[in-house]
Amino acid sequence: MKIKNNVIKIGKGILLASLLATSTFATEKYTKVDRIKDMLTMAEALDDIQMGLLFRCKDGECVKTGINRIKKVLHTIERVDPKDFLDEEQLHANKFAKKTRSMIEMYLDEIEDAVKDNNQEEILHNYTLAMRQCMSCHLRLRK
Amino acid sequence: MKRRSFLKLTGTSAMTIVVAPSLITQKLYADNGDLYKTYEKIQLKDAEGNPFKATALTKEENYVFNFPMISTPCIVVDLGEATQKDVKLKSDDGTEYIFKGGVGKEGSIVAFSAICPHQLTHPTPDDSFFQYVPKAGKTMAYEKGGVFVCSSHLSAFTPKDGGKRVNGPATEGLTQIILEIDEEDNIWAVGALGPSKFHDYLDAFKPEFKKYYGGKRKGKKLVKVEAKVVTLSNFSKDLIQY
Repeated sequence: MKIKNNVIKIGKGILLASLLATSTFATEKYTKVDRIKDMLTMAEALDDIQMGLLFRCKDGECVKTGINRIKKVLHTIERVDPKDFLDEEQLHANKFAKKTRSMIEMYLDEIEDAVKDNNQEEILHNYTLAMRQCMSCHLRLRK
Repeated sequence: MKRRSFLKLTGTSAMTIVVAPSLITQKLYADNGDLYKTYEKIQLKDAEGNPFKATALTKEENYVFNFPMISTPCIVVDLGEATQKDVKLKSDDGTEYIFKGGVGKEGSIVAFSAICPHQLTHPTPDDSFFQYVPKAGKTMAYEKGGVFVCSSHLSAFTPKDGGKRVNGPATEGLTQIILEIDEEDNIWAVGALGPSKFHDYLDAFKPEFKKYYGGKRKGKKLVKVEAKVVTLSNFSKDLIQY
């Protein structure tokens, strides 16, 4: 009985700790420094995909690496409050930023399918379209 | 007459009817005909399948229908006042075309392809960053309302002048959708005038067609017979206008 009560207490403690950790994470700000770091990651990841287009890696591995790196950043951007990383005069454009995010992900999914099909032309086509979305967002939001 | 010659003759005749704009009410395009294309004439209908009447348009309200393909959205608006007539416009390559004016009793009804010529922003069932902003409305894209605005990069186009680009990074105007209104006030879409972005659009948004129209290739299908008209607010879940 005593052991059972202790187990229950430990379980409650773990649950409470998890909840605290989650709420701490949710309120953690996404700063401009974080944003710049993530943008650089995405730029490097585009290079990874380009290497694949130039046949500089085996079985398109660098393309897959590039896609995964970009998607990881995109998922972060999806979760954060744009107010954390947009300048005040750009806050109105947060929906546009989110839309661009989803478009990039859409084209990355197409690239993934093209890798499976070993279709280099489709990879290039969707890489260009994804890049256009990056440029689109920068056109609007980057000074 | 041999069968082959007969087919050649009828085929030529059919082509003449398809491309000769004089068989439609207006002469609209530059001499080389590049910027004008007719499609199968389609009737605009409401959500219940009844003919959509010109007088049913609420002034300055955005109404969406798909034309000429099932994935290419257009917006029809009754501007509430007559448009300009015989406006000379130019595409990016310098080809001229002429906007003859709006249709309807007051010449106030216009329709344009809702695909921004800059980077092809367009309404989807999820969201729309492209719409007509009423005269009393405000937009970051232009000094006053009464314009079509693309809220992606803030290009603005005046419908009174045939969708002419007046501000922002777009370098061309909107593709005008040629409408006809018959004696019973029914609205028909018959063609497209101006620089066409359909090809680029169909090329760029295949993954969307999978999501909204059941397949990448299905988005390219031409609209036949009729097109459903709904307000923009019923077409897109989220309207974003800056």
